Amino acid sequence: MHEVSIAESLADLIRRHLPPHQHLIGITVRIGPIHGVVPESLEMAWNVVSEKEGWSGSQLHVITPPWRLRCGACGRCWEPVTVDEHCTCGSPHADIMAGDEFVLESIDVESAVNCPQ
Amino acid sequence: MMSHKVPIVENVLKLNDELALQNREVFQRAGVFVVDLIGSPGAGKTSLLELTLRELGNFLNIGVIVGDPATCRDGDRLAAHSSNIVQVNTGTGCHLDANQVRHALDKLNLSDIDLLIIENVGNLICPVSFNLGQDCKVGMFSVSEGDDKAAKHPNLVVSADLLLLNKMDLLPYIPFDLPRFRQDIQHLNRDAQLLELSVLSNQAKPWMDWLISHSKHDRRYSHVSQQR
Ligand SMILES: Nc1nc2c(ncn2[C@@H]2O[C@H](COP(=O)(O)OP(=O)(O)OP(=O)(O)O)[C@@H](O)[C@H]2O)c(=O)[nH]1
Ligand SMILES: [Mg+2]
Ligand SMILES: [Zn+2]
Ligand SMILES: [Zn+2]
Repeated sequence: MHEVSIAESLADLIRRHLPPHQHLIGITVRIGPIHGVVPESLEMAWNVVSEKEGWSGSQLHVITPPWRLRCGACGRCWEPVTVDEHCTCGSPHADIMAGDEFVLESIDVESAVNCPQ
Repeated sequence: MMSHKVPIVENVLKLNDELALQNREVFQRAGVFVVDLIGSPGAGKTSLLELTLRELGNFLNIGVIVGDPATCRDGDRLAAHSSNIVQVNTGTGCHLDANQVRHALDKLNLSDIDLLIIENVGNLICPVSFNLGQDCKVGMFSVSEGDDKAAKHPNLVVSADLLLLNKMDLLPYIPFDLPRFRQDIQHLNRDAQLLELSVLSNQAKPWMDWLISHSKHDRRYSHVSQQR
């Protein structure tokens, strides 16, 4: 159900930004690993929510940025595989610099009316 | 038909965050210290709150908002100890959001309350992403869940201000590598304190002390800011 409420939050935001007379055909979302979102599940939830909003067929693109840690001892920055990875200097203490973002990057739209060319 | 990309770059949880900020202003104006209690189903959240109301009810005016998918069972358990209890049913929702908390506040008189504890829906994942306007996030684990739960749910551990390990009375009966659990928490969040409790045996003094020191501190602070 997590993914459904996230898809609904996305829809709230898109409603505010969708230019008039435009069809939504795709969205791009950047979700850091801290939010525990499974892209496949979000896609399923998005299909349901976007159809309810009248945007059926719109494509969801998920970007999963890596964690980024900064070592509390030596200051080194790196992208760990898991958030609990130790620094190469041996220190287990690191601050999270990235991996918690949750951003609607962009939406893809096309004109709802056919322009006579 | 021509399609084009419209850049947005906006936080998806913006609406929730805006409402959480409003809640936070309401809490600060009323001088209430607010805790968001997050843990898996059955970790002992409601049991801890029952004990808290029994032990601290005479010193602190405590309110509770308790979220569950269905039933008023937790709300009824807590209502035996305090009249400032609001049960929220989330249906299929797996977490409380700031809007639900905002509506629940209509049923509480915050000027009568020093400490508000929000028992979130039993879930270690989703509640982490939704701010409610709280001062502190508290993550609760229990021995019967296994010693790997902190490591498997790093997101809760890194965002918590305080961590609790409940059901310490079960340690003799269940394989649970306590040093390893402590170490996982240390690695993920060196700033968060870990309190080891057994609510069933009334062993929760560190938690009570933590609540007293935090809610008093905050109240004093709010008096100072009101005078200015
Ligand atoms: N052995 C033991 N059992 C406990 C302890 N604390 C709570 N329990 C038991 O754990 C079970 C679940 O406790 P609750 O307080 O309802 O747990 P909860 O986290 O509120 O559960 P949900 O609201 O359903 O997510 C109950 O049977 C409690 O009696 C403890 O310290 N030790
Ligand atoms: Mg409960
Ligand atoms: Zn969920
Ligand atoms: Zn280092």
